Amino acid sequence: MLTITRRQLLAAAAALATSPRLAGAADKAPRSCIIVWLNGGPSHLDTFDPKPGTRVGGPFKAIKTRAPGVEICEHLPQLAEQMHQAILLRGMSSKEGNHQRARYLLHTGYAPNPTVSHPSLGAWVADQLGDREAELPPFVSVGGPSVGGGFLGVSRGPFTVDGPGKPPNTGLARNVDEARFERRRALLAETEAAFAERTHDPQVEGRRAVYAQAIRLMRSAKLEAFDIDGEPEATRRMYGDTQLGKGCLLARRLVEAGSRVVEVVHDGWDTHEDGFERTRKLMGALDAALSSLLRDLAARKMLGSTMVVCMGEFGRSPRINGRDGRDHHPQAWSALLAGAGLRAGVVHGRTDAEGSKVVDGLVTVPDLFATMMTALGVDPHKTLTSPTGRPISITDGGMPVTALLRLSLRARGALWQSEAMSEGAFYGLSHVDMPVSDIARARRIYEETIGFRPGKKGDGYLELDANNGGIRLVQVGKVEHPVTIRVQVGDVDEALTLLRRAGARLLYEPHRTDALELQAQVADPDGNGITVWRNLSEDEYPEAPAIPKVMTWKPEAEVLLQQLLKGVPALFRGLARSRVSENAEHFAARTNLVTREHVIRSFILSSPKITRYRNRKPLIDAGIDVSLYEAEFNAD
Amino acid sequence: MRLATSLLALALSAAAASSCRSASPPPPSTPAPASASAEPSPAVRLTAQDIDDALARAHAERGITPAALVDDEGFLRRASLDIVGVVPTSAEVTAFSQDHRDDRRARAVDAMLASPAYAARWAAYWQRVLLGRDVRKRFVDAGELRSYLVQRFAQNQPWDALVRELVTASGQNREGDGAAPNGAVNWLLRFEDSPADLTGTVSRVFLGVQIQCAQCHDHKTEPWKQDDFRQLAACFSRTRVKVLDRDRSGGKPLLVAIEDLAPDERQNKRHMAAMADFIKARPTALDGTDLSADGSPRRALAAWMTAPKNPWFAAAIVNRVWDVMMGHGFVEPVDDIRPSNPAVMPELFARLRDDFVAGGHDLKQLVRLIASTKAYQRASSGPPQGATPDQASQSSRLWARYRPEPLGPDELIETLVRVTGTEALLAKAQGGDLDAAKQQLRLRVGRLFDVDEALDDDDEFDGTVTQALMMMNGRASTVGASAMVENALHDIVTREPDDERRIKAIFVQVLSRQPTQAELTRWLAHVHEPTEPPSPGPAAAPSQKVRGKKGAKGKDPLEKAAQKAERQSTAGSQRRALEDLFWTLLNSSELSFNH
Repeated sequence: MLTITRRQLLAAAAALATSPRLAGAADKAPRSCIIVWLNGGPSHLDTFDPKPGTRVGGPFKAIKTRAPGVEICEHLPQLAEQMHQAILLRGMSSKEGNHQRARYLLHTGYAPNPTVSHPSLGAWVADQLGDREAELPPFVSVGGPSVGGGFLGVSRGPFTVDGPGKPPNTGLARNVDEARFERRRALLAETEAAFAERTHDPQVEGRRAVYAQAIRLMRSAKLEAFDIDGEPEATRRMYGDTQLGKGCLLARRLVEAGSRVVEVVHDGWDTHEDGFERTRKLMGALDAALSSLLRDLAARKMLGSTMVVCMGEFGRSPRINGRDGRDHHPQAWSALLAGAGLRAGVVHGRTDAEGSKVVDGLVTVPDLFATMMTALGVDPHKTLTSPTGRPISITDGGMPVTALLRLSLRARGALWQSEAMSEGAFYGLSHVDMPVSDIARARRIYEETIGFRPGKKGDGYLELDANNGGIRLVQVGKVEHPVTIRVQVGDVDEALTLLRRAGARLLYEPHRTDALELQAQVADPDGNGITVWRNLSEDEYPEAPAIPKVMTWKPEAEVLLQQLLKGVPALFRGLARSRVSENAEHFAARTNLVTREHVIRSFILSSPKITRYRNRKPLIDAGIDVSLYEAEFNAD
Repeated sequence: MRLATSLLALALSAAAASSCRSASPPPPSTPAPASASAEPSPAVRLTAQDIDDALARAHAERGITPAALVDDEGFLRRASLDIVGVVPTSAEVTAFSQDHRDDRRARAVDAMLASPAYAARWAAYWQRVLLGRDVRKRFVDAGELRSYLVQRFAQNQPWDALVRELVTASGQNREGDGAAPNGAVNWLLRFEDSPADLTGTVSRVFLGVQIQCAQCHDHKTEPWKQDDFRQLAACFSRTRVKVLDRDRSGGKPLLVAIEDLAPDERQNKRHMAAMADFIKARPTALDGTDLSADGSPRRALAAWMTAPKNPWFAAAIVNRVWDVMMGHGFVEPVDDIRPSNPAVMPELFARLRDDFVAGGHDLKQLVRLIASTKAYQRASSGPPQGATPDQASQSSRLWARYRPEPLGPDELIETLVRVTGTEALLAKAQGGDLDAAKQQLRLRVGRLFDVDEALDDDDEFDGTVTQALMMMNGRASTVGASAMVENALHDIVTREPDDERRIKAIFVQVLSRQPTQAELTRWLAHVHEPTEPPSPGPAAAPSQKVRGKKGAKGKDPLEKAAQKAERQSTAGSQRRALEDLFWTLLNSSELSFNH
């Protein structure tokens, strides 16, 4: 059965989003995330969405950044140098203007609800990507408290530290040496086993697991990741001698050592009074810390697998209050995203002249979470069951902002298709009712030949399930309103032969459709239609598909790519087209103009090293001197 | 919406209705809870036997064999944790084991209910429910609220009167300007800028009705409309916070009061803005009762809520107390009582509720009644129940066996301090003030339990890595499990003449029970097993520093003692073995669960 479900499509999208951008590069590392949390709600107008010279603009000027056309506050000069690696979301908006509620929303993706305790992003990721046997905690909060594991349990919540340095109580007390601790550990294990045996309680088991985790941490050589004193003086100075600077450096070390999510909390952004002076000082710390983090991650080739998020719980009001500060403003604010294969150097969304409302590129909090989860390789629509039996999906019905993801065309198509079916009152298609006059006869076609699996049955009906959904055969006297179903197949002719053998009659022969499909149709003895179809392979297309370009391409670059693709087997051509063009645009990121040179390099590098030799022939056929590209052919 | 009342009555009486009377819903304005479950007239009080009979029938119907009764030691520990929030002292354990009267369990419960610890424990529980773990508003004085609650629980003030005081409280948050505080206002102050949250909380906590979803939209599964929410919230629309004195440096209000506007008084702009959604609504109760007639809708609301005929009020508190003691309520979550979330044993639930009303909202009596049932006294140990997971969960749902529950933060701190016998050390560090020392510990340790500060309830705690590290290597354990400082272990080692008696005393001290013969043999062997001498001090692992924010949390009260324990680490091998025993029991699940 080739019916593809929405969930599979999303999973495919997520898989593609996380697949290494340059195939062959040893970038199989799972994704990680560093959250720089500006607690209190930073003023978007005084940081990432400046409106200098306007009535609401405040005293600060805007400066140009390395991302063309993007300006930010003058007090973030080092960050301006790194903006080509980041995305600014200026169209963030929510309804929560209360600190506690908004903090919950921006940590979990859900508005607070007393009947469900939602896990935070860190807890979801720890749950989905964390290694149960890992030595370091998968989710660490620096300067926390963050939001915890919710219904996933405290074990998915953050390991909270105040700042760098060996975490409290990870060393032995002075009156206990290794031998004595080991003896105690063994005695405790014995005692616990007896109690667990007596009570048979799963919570007791859970507690033993937590102790095991704690002891792994105590004994781990990776504990030194918590200590930043070993970092070169210059690095520490670069990040800044501030709590935030140290926290960001610690975050990088922890991610390097295997933690999946590290949240660094920077407090003080709730600037109702004396807002400009306080925000300027806060930006001093933020500028050094965040810019160093991005630069450092990029230099260590970790930015591709690490997502950096910088935000607070809301923005601040355009209106400047009587105390030279700004008040809460959830209607419009900004967030910064970078890394993990997200696009870079772009601004998404726009506020009005006063920064009061979003006028373009609105991103809701669920959308932001779906985007972040997709970038992290977690299916944003995966559903888990809360202890009260309620299904909860990882994000609150949000859709990834496709413009921010570097997705292949196919993955984007999958996301668009799924957008059509929202997570609302309707859960999706379960079955198509199919009237038949003889269920046993119909089973020969639908169950035995096509392979739907029998499911629920009862008086006068039988459900036949495909992977998701299916048909329900409904017994009627005489079929008056037949239905038609579509079934995807590998070989249309073979399918027709099998169906006719099972008693179906041919309605029309295979033919090509405008949608680049080959399809034919039969009817069952009751007159219900079965359309069998497959996608045409590229060799069968009337003309080559267009290149999925986002940037400007030189015409000769486009021609070259199409020509090179002809030398790629049809089955792989679609994938090659999207991957090579994506990578070519990546190489052209500086100029936004894709040239022949970019195409050639990308064409070579987009294949894994081991199969790269196959790319020589198409290049030579296109008249290119491959000897000039030995470096690309040999690159790891 | 008018349907709601009768629906609730139906939910509570579903079982009763099918067996004993036709279910014609009572008229909406006169919910008559007693009529729904009828059988025992209010004059005849419900007994523990009635409860056990009802449960026995339910078990029999489903083929469940309930667990045996817990032994005396187990009962004393469980009741002590539930009623006074801490394990018994070893003297209490010993005295109880020597009491052979038939009614010794009931006597022990009565003694606990009469002790000041009862009030402290329930005040702590309600402080957590009412204020959550963390209140950032500077003028919310948690200590004043706590003192108020302690006083009320100590005098066993009827629950309806207590809730009326909370909902209608006026006065100032703390002492100042020559006026005495009303501690109760500190709960209302928590909702200073969010009347909607206050309304949702009043309904959820005191009535078990989750109407807060209707703040933004008509409820999806229940009959609540947005208007119902607004009309309920309108009861608070004339209540305001008045600033009496500000903090000199930050300009933040420190001394404030809650008061109602006079009928003819105009509201100021800020107050108008906060109340915008509710100001025009007519104060109305959930069953449609008009609350605007009285000059104070807040008072009318409190009276309506706590009236004997209100079907929700008593159900909510009965469910909650039952949950605290029995591990889970008739309805879960405890504050979500509605027809679409049916109760386990609805008939029994309704009878308990009616009995609570008939008895005048007497909380101590409710605790006493539950503690005297066999259901409360079931063992937690034994083979897994039921052949299938389904049967096992049924058995647990019907309280056929006591389900072990991890201690909450308050109980664990009280218990740790008590079993290690470090009260004196702690108090000394705080200039003789043990409560202040415990508060210090609570602040320090509180965060280790659950990072969700906004959570109102202390369920869902299942231990973190940080907590495990603290229990294994932290100051409190180091000091508590050292025989070298002034603590319980030191007393035992000095007092008891031989190792067998020392081991027994340690078990009683930490786990509130005697060791089994196997345990005794095992530990005697350990104590007499020659071990290598400890490696010399400097070579041992480096001492750790507790990192805090520049003393923001105060000095660790145990620091000095810990240094002493560490300096004198070269105790004899037997003594070290006893320390190992103490440490092991301190870290055991048996200590950190109520079972």
